[in-house]
Amino acid sequence: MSNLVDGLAPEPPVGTVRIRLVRSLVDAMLADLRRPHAFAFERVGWMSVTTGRAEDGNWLILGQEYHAIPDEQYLSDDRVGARIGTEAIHATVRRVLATRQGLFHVHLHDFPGQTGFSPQDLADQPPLVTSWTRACPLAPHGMLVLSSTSAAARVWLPGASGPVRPEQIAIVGYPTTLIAPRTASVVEDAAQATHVAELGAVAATPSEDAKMAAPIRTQPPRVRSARQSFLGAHAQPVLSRARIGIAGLGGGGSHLVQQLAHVGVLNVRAFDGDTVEESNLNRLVGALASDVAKKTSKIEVARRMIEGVLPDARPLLVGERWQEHSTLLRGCDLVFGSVDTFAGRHELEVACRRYGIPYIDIGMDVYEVPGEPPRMAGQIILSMPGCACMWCLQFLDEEKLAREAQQYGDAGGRPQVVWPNGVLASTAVGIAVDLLTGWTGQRDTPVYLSYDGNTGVIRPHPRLQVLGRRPCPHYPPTSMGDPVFKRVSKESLRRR
Amino acid sequence: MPVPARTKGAGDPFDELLQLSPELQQAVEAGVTYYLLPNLAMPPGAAPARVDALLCPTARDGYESRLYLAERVSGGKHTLNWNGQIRVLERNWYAVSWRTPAGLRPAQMVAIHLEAFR
Repeated sequence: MSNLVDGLAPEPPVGTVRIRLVRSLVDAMLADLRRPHAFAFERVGWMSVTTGRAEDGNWLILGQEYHAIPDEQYLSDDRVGARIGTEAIHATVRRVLATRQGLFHVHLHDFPGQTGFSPQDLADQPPLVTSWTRACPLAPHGMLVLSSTSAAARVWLPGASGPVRPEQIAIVGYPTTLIAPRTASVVEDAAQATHVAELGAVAATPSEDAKMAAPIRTQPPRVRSARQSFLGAHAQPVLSRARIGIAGLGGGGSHLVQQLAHVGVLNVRAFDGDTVEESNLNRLVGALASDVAKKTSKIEVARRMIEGVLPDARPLLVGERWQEHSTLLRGCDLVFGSVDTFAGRHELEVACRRYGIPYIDIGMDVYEVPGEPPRMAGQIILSMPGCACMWCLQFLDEEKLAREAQQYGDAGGRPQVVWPNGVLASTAVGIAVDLLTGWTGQRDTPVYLSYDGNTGVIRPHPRLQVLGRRPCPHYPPTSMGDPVFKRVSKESLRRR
Repeated sequence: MPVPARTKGAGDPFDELLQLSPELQQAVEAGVTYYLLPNLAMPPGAAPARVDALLCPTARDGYESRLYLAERVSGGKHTLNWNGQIRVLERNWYAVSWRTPAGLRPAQMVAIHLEAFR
């Protein structure tokens, strides 16, 4: 598994596959693969994956668990970096048969920067992967090679005659790394759907969601601001390529749209079914008085703002709730929520956790306090897969959801003004840019910021001090991927 | 809907739910276990006559239990307050405001929820 000369052999095509790996999983893999072995030159391991489907059946492959190989299952063989005995190989096939989950061969080229598969990798690993595809043909299997900062993969999709390369591998954490194939500068989803269909992997007829989704723009904006070059040389391509979702284009969402356009985000996917009303004009950035009479949709206001700043942008703006187009949300690399309810926030967090997407929540409220001036408060929360969720942070709890449910339809016109939405959205965009570019160098940073609108102060929420580093009990790795319904039978009840 | 008589000696309360819905399935989301009752028969006169239902047998949204339906069901003598539009397990569901007492068996919960449409 040495002699890194990937590129000598024809590369497989880029398929409509995205791989998402939570950073804690990658860290666990790196920690194991870096351990010296008594005689093997390197280590290998297995990664169980689960799956989800984005628009048009595009595959999301979600790393779930890493399985280290016991030392005694390595064989001595000087011709290769690591040789694994038949016992370990048979165990992988048994695992695939038992779990019906996809499995990936994992190894490490321990240097920074791009990596790829060596001729030895390409000779040794595909037969193993093929044995898994025979054992469980309905799950995708593959091979993954990590470097200390990047990754490459080949994926055998169900029904396909050969492997494809993923159009993106995301290492999801703080910061989040989006890795694109070396040869892909412009990704055209529709073209890829056709290409993979030729391999027999997905239906050739694009769904309505897929038609909306294509094409994805990955070219940098025509005019690029040198004033943000401090973000790093890779920042603009990453921001240009990232798909960023926004649920809710009201007071907070309109600021998000505007700022993301200025930052250079080309692929915004935003969801809102409302039209501009008179009562929105005190805070809806980009809305005009004439929009009220015209009943302009909020997505049109967003389109006007984005395309006014970024003529090359191809925003995907959906005039309905995200819940009606959830596959489009799943395809996002990062999602902002600017919604009115705790239940809405919970639903967004569930969806994002399920598909391994960082979620940034913003919101504000004004509370009446008898005998005192009104209190304005808000929050910015980053819900990062693998880390504390909004339930762990006690921002969400049953009592809040119950109280809200009992007041259903009675929310009325809650106080909202433009400036706190601007503060919250600006802070959230700053976090997103740092997340995608890593320009501050912060790592594993939990984000739960409280905004005191009366004093204008934003500070870390005290809850962070007592949170600790325990894994989130609400969203374990096993909860990732499309829902799994288990049949209840008399026999299963007897076994309980 | 009549609640099946509890089988003498039956150890699991979900056994009764299985009698109501032989295709019963379960799934977990955000730490909550839900039970899917595919194509559940609604009370006579309700439309549609059958609909997928999702039972949350634990407290949620201030209710002791909730029965979510894949679509809004009409019929019955009650004025229904559809106060639950929710996304669970990657599917959109609807629920009426309807309370069940604490301490019920799952099949009893379903039967009482269905009274809303009778």
